[in-house]
Amino acid sequence: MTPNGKPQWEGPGEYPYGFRDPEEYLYRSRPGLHREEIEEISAQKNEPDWMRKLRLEAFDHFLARPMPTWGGNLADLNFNDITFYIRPSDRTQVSWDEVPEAIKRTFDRLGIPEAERKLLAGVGAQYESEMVYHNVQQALEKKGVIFLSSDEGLKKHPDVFKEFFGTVVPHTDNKFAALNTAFWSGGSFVYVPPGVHVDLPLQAYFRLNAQGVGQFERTLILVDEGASVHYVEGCTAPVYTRDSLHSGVIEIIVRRGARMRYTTIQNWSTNVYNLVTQRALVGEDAVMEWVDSNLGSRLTMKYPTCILQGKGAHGEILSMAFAGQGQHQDAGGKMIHLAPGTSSKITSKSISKAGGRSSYRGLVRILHGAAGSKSKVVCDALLLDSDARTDTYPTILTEEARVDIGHEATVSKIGQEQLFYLRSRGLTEEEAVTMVVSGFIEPLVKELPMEYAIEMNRLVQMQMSGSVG
Amino acid sequence: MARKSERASGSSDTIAVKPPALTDIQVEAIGRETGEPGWMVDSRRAAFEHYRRMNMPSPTDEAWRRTELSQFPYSELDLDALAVSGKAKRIPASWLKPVAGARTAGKLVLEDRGVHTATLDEELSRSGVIFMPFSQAVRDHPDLVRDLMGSVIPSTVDVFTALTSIIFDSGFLLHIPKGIRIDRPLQSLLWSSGEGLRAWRLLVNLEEDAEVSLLHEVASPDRSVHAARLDVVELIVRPGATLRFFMTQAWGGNVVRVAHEKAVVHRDGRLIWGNANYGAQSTKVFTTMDLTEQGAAAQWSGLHVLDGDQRADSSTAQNHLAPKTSSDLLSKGVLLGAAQSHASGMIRVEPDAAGADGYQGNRILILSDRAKAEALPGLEILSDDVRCTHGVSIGGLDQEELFYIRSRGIPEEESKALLVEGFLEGVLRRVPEEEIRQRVHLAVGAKMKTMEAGHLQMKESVRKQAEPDAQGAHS
Repeated sequence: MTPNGKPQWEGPGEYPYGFRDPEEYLYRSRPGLHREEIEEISAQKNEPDWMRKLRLEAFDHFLARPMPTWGGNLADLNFNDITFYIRPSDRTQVSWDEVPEAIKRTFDRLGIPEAERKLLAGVGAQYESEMVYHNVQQALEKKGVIFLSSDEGLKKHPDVFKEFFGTVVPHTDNKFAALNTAFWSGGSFVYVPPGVHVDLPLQAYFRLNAQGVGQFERTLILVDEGASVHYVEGCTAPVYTRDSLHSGVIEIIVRRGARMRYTTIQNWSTNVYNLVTQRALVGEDAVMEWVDSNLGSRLTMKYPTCILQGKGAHGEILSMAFAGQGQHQDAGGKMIHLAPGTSSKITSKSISKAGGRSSYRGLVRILHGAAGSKSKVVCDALLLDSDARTDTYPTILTEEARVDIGHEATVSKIGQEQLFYLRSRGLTEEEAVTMVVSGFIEPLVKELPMEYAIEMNRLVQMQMSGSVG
Repeated sequence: MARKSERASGSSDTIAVKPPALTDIQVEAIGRETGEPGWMVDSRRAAFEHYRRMNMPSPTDEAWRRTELSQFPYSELDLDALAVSGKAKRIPASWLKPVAGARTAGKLVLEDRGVHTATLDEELSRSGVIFMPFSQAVRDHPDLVRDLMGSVIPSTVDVFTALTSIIFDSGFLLHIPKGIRIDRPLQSLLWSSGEGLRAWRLLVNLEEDAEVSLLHEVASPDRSVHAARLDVVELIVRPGATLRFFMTQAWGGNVVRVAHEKAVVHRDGRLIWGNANYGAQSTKVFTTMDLTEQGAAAQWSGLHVLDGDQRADSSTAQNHLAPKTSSDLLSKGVLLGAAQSHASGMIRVEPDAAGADGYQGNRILILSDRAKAEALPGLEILSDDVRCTHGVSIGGLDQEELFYIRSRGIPEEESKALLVEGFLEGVLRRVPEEEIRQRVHLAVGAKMKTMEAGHLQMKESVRKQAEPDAQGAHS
């Protein structure tokens, strides 16, 4: 994603971020699942022993756990073809000038440094397995805001890191959380002190360059009482014939009265498996918002979760999926209500075309004791042609009587009357379809910072171009 | 059956539950006792061959993970329970009242030991309408039964359809010939008071342009011993035909029910279907609507009122297999005590079903903090020219509405009962035929009265008050 700069694609309908750099790395692990490689990663990172042990424990759990049989098709995902760790440079830089030239060129092409100067409070850039750049505005640093790569977070704040790591998403949560815990590298470590409001977004940028690579970033975000922050992540990769794997784990704690928004603009190339676990613990009167847009990847399985554990906590998920040819977006979200007076809202918008498949998979669960809780889920799916497919798999469960739960889902074809109207105004059919689609996702796009909204509309236009025969 | 849904399934831990033990000797004995033709005995034997190789569903199977099969001693259920003299209980007179008085076009009452009543308007009988117990149908209309039985739900679907096909000893056949439209309701009652394991099946076949309304009731007294009731319901609606079929279930609180119900609706056929559930300790019902040809339409309406430790688990499937088909499902439930309701539904639109219109609605009213509700409304859409929606709402009584009614001087319990009745009104209105609607309405009303009497608290079975006779007393 280029928040500001011009995307550089060759023509309409082309994936603009498919360029690739020469593969020159400091270290590259042997492809496949090897215990020694985990030892090697841990040694190279010079980690404390507890982390090394935890990695190995998670690895055993990963091996013992069966592959999920639900969701997308994982039959073609071959772990033996995946390179689990690639070290592109020897350290994380705080100045773009010191980032290795080839990598810097990549991020220049993606418009990241320019974006940082203009509209971001802090930027992290991950290339393959390591964060190559991480920087935050000095003013925020003085207020005590921490924005580091997770590897540096572990080095500089070992106690907090140890206390926090794996508490929101333990490695036993699912097979891919175990895989991430075993091989994790990179990601962001964010701390916002009590009462501090970070007005501009913090951004992390994730890039896969090599063929058949696995990226396993681990992000920990702690928003202290009454603080607020917006974190944005974007993802791209070159187009290869061999599949890559991105399997991040995001752990977030939003303390009492705090506010956190986590925005993802996922635009992996269509040879990437994107299997991510994102979860937030939300305290009393705190607010957690996930804005999740999935445009790229071959298969995404991702269900951002809010565990509303404090009284009056509020969770929100805005999920947008676009599934084109060869893509399956299995996205959605989960809301777990544990405390009284908690509220949640999930809005899902999906568009499928040209044989693409988008699925909403969600869970709303109100446990005993969460009296007076409210939840609303709205799923809308748009089908652009007869080869496309959409599914809705929600689960709604309550153990409380004094609750208010609503769920609605609608699937429809693009409105012929709307198209006719727009065409009668002189728009071509393609323009008309694009406009209807833009209107359909408008509720989500308007929640993005303006530059991203513009970018999102551009990405959707690109997805749409050539869609009308 | 519908293609397997791709919903998530649970972990792979399994608790093995043994299917009921059946021997060759028992299977042969069933055929001998009923004195049925050889082909019928053969079909039981064939089902038994499948059954031998089948296992009980695993608790991790998506369709079964909410059903506590392991809590129920299937393997100990006695197939010969009824043979012990004195076990059968007589049908209370209340259940025998005709649904539409003299207008009732035909009535079948099946009890423990056989047929209690079997009447059908003579003119209808002459025109070829068949409405008779299965035991008679296999002798009088062997070709029809052989052709249709198992054509909608084969015995091989699961261990319970196999078991039903082997052991069923009750049920009936309804066949309406081409072009016959019956404007008076038919009625059937299945009374099965014994302990142990019993199964029945129902086969309804409407030929082209035929039309009929049928009320089917099942009931048994409350007993302390375990009992299981299995059933297979097959409905065939041929081109242009209209079937209105409503079933009420008032099994005793000792009963576990496992049922497979499926309708196949052909070109421009119409199905208005539904059920009301008050009884049984636990139910697992699969309801499937296959809209196989252009213009087929199905409407399904369900209501359940559960209390005590009652559990209802339903899996519905609305399968759009042809263009311009429509389905409309509405389910409403009221939960008291520690009752649990699980509803999993799927609307599936196949690639060549352009112009499909599907709706699934699920509304649950929870009146107790110990009750639990779960809804899983799914959509699988493989065609673009569709309009499919579903809606779920779960919640308690609206406190503002309650306040309003109370401010009119109506006592709290009565106000609550009024709100509950108002809640169910929307689905009661969809029950086909005025007389059937009234009968269901009265039964629900009676159940509400008992709730009122019990201050909307948990009560053990109040099913008895839902009997037609008791309705009269309350209405």
